Amino acid sequence: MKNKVICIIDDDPIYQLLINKIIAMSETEYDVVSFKNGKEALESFKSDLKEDKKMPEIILLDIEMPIMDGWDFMKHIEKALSGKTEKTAIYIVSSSIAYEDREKAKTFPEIMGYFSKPIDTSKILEITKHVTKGEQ
Amino acid sequence: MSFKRTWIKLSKWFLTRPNTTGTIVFLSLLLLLSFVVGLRYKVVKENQQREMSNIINVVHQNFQQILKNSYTTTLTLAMTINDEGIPEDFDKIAPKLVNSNASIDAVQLVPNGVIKYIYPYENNEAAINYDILHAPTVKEEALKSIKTKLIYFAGPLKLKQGGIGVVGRLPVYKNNKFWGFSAVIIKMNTLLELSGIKSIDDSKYYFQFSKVNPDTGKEEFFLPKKENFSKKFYQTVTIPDGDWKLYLIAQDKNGLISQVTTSTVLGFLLALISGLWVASIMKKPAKLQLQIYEQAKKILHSEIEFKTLFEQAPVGIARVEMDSGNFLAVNDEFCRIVGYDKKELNKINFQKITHPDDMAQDVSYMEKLKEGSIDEFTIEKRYLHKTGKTVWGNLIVSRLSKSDGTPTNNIAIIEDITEKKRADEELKQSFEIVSEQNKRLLNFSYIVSHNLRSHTSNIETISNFLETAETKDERDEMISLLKKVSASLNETMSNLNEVVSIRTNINLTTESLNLHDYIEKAKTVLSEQITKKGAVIHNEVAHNIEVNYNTAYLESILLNFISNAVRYSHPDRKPEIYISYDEKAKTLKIKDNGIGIDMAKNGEKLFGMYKTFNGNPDSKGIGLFITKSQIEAMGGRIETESELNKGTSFTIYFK
Repeated sequence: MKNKVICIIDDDPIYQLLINKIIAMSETEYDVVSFKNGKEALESFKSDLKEDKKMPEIILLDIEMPIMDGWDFMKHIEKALSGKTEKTAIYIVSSSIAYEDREKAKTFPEIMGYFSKPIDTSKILEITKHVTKGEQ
Repeated sequence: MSFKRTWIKLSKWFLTRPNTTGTIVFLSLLLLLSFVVGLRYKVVKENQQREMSNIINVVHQNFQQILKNSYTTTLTLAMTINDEGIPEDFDKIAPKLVNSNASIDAVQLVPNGVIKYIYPYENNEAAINYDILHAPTVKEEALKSIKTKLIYFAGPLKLKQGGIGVVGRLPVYKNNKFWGFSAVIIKMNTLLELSGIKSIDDSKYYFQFSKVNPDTGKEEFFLPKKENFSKKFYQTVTIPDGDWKLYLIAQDKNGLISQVTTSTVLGFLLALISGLWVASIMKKPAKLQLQIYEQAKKILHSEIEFKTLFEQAPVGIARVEMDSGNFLAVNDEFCRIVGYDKKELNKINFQKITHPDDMAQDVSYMEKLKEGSIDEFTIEKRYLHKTGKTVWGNLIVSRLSKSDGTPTNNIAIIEDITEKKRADEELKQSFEIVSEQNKRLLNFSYIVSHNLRSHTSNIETISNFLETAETKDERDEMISLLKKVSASLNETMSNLNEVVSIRTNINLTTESLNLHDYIEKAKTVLSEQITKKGAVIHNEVAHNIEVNYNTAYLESILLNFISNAVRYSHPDRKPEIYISYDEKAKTLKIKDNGIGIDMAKNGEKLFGMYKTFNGNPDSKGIGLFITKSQIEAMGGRIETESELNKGTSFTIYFK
């Protein structure tokens, strides 16, 4: 098992399937963890923290989701995981190309970047490289 | 009443003519004082005459006395003459007579007109042997006494022995034959002294003593002041024994007048000063009167101006009594705004024509104005027009105060802003509609782009995989994925199509629908779902409730709400749904005891497209979005109340 984790939070099952394939094809050192919405992800992270497990290195976050959308997730992660998400790089990956969404993303300092779907291997590599650089 | 008016008119006439009034006062006083002075003059004159006649009478009496004494003396002396015509004891008797009579300076006997005996002899010896009957100057008077056979006083004349005096001669007859004269000599000085002429107070009067000269026939005056006194006041007495005339003359003709001159002058001055004083006093009121008249003219002018301004102002103006709010005066525009005429308005107060919703605010401002905590206020308020309609006015109210600051009443200026308000309202409404539509449009375009893009991006990724797929399995997997994407894209498209059709359907046909029946119909459609959940639906809507609605929309709305209420039931209890209608508010209420919605968190997103909050696999997030669109398309709106784990109630407003 590779020790680095990339977390996908998206309600679209087809997308989930496709992104898994892409990451696998990109031959990175990352494992993939998927969640259907923000709430599921948040609860998982909370329990991980209790067990002292480490946080994922990268989160690819969708905006439009039922139950808890991307923005709500951001608000909660700031509160619940404050001080513990430093190592986690959050990227928005949304089908939205709306200017408002891009601008809103900038208001969260934890969000490292904004990508519009579709995502391909080159974009994944770009993200992982960026994160690796940041760590060094 | 008419007298009073005449009096006012008269006094006004005088007040405006100070010079005339002054002159009148002057003349009136002058007349009065002249009368008084005239009276006084008369009194003074009478006094003077009385005094003069007193004085002259005394002097006259004294003269009479002297003459009587002289007569007695001459008679006594004549008796000394014996029958032979020889005086006896002249030397003895004469001194006695002279000495006992202060008025007599000398006595003489004059037989045959020749002075033979005289006493006292000293100083008189020059007269001895003076033949008077043959002396031209004295002859006439001597002869006169012989003629009358009475004593006669000659002179005053120059005495032979010196000095001036009068000579009283008594003709003496012996045996009926003229013997001569028995005479007395009274010196002028003695006569004047004894008669009292000398002792007169000559500041006021003086005497004159006269005799008509028998030779010349002219009146001769013997006392020093000989000037003509005929024009002066005088009184006179005649003494026939000597043909004398005695005059008492007032010193000065003007003496009498001088006594009243002071009064006259003072009176004149008094009248003059009074006249001037009255005139000067009245000039001030006259000036004031003139000023008042000018001011009144100005006031009248500005009054007319203000009246015109008030009446013809393009804004409503009303004067309102502070305590009661009664209208005291209103102009035409105000009448037009509220639709009442002036007479009607004068009987009511502003509260009567104020819209009930604006009453509290207006009255509270009026109170503040009365307290003095504000001087004026401006509000937009509604009036109830006489016809019952509502008119909008922009109201400015200021307090009118007396000069000492006590408030009297308020002045209100009202601008009719009904049209403006209506335009504003329309503008606001259309703005709301436009912005709402715009919001919906934006939301919709977002939905469209998002929902379509999520599919297209998947298709793009799949097609990339298809290109690079090396095995048939890989390719088949991708194709089956593509089919899934296609199906969901199709669903999305049909949903969007439905939404678009609701929104573009402007001319919806509506008909009167029985609400109760349609609820029952929906229950029938959903009977399978209801039975499965064991739900109880209470249709509390009365049988006679009819709503004007589009049939398809009403069905869709009812189905959506009821199925939602059944679907999102609470796991701990059987769903119970109450449907009721409020006839007054025209609202339909659908209340459930389901899981509820976190309104704080999701209230905004509740009616958004593709929004789901509960992880229920059946929820697609399209139902409420469509329902809302349909309600709004029918001109209504929707309200939500909800509490997590307790239940939700939706209130649908019919237009």
